[in-house]
Amino acid sequence: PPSHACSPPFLLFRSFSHLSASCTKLSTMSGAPQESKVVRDFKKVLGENERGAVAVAAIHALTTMIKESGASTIMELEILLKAAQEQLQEMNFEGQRSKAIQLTAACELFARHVTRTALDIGNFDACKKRLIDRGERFAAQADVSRAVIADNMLPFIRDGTVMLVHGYSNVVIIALTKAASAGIRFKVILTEGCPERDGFKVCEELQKAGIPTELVVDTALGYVMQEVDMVLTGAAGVCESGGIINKLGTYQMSVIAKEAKKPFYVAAESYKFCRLYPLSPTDLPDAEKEGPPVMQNGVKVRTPPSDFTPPANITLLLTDIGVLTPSAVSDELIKLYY
Amino acid sequence: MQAVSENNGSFKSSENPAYAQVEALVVKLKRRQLSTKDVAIETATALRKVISGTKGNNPKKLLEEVRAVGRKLAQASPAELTVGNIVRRVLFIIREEHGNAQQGSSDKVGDGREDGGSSRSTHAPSLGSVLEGDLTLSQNWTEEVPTNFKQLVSAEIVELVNEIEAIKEQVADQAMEHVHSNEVILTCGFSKTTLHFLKEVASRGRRFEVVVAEHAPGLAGHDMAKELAKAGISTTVIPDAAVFAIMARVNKVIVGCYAVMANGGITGLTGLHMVAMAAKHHNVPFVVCTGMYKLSPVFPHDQYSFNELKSPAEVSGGGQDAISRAVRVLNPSSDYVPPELVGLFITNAGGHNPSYIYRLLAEYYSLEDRVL
Repeated sequence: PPSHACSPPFLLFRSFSHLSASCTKLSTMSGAPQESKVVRDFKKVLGENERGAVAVAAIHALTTMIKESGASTIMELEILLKAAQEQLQEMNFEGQRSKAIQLTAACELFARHVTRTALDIGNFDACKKRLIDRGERFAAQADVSRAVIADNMLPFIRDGTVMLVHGYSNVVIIALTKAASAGIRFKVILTEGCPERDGFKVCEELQKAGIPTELVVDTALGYVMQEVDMVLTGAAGVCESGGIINKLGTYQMSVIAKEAKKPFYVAAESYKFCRLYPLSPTDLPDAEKEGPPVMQNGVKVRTPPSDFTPPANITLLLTDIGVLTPSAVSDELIKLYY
Repeated sequence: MQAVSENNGSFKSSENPAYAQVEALVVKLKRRQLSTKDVAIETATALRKVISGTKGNNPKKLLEEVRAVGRKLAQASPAELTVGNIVRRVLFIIREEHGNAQQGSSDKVGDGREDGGSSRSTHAPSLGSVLEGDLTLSQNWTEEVPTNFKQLVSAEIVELVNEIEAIKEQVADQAMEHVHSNEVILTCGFSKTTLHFLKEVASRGRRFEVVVAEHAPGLAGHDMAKELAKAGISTTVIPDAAVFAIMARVNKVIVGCYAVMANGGITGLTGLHMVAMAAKHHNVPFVVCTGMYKLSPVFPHDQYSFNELKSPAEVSGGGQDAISRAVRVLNPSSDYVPPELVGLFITNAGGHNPSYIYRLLAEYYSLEDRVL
């Protein structure tokens, strides 16, 4: 027979499983394939803002969930948040698989923020109010983040700079547009970015800002590297080691840049920092991993979506919390989590 | 004699009696008459006078005054990063004192402000502050500061000057851990900090050898060798071209620098990059002795960012045997050494890795002051 000391934890465990069961019940009550409210909110916000960050949409959806939840304790809130995070992560990001990692990072950041706020403020109602208030302000924050990064990048771009850009990154486009409107005259060489071929899209955006652009095929990186002064890319996720997970081709570009002694800069907002520590270019989270090969004309074709660039190849990370060396990233994460 | 500045922005002495001292400092900076340490001390003293001379007790006005004077001083010698560093330190002091004053007054009122826990976010933005506060951290500038606000700031600046004066001793305190018996140390040119560092070891009775690269064209290495020999250290002078050959026999390279960059690189004497590369090739530790006032929150992009050309007469000689006018002679003033070639910084704040330097920035400077 359980002693008195044991029984309270036993009861607590029972009540938690009951709560999470009710969560899943809620989502399945209105029919099995229906998405939960969180996912719907998320998709709505993402759809509204074409350039919008995944993190903004995620935190907006989670904040709405907190606002509308009937939770009365922090524990309850945290369980609901965890369930919501799982639902968001089950979403299928067709054609934009690199967004999945941003989603995880944003959700974890928000969960950590909830814990810290709960520790700072004892009163649940005040805590909930603060969470909602801050969560709603975050949407405006994201635009500020990108503007801060653009400002941080200005001293690095001078007249006559030739830069190499890989991948479609909103942060990079906004920063380069700002540099062009500040009157700096520079040239951009873009990689084609097969198989998505998003180099063309980036070209369009930059040309609208009046920046002279040239496009090269992905295999021309070694050929073109000695012409450029610097290499610039965005990031889908920034890992704890200071390395980045980004569109396929980033790793090989970084190796060539290191060999040619060209600086390799990464522009990423701080909410992309995630607690991953990949050890090789293929050591990626499930969402970014390579899918099974596709048959095309009788040939097995592999299309990995992303790769990992180790911190040794990265010169500097331009973020909204300042210009950081790769070793500073783990510092920032530690400051947040401990 | 009143100094005539190119821009018409010369300060009027009637507005602030300290401006005369500022103008005098501008002239000295333009003539490149001061060593790095003297630049730091004179800038701090001038700013202290400016603060004392400013009318009223408004911290925001003080910030703007210091910034305006700072910009003018920095323009007088753009390659001398120490000026900007000291200006930013003073701005940081003003912000900190203002923060203390604000907290002091809020403690008195005894309010239950929830933001009390996040007062740590008044300085560096971090991952935590992304959700907890505004990224554009603008402090609420209140007019309510204690009447002795300027005196407090002034006292802090005096402490800063004392800190700069004491750097040689604090760096030398760590010398015994780094120079061991029978080691061969290579150094380049003349650096007072390094000289003091090595003399400290010799004064404790440890025997070691020093090889000094003479550093053409100024040949300051000769003076360094003389000073070392006076201290009883066995010294050898070599031409700069021989550094690579000698490096195989060297245990450590210990040098000074002009400035420490935000990414952990340094600007120093010309030729230092070559010495660093030779050291890397032979796996010899490259150690830099410096004071934290040389830490600068700027990033270098290439060798030209913070460099300037000195008079070619140093190289080509003057008069009859000068190099024919058909030949161009360049005499750059400094060299940039990237962080991967630097092994260790020995500073008055202890020993640090180049990859750690960015952290120290947050301790000494505010993010808003990165651009003066």
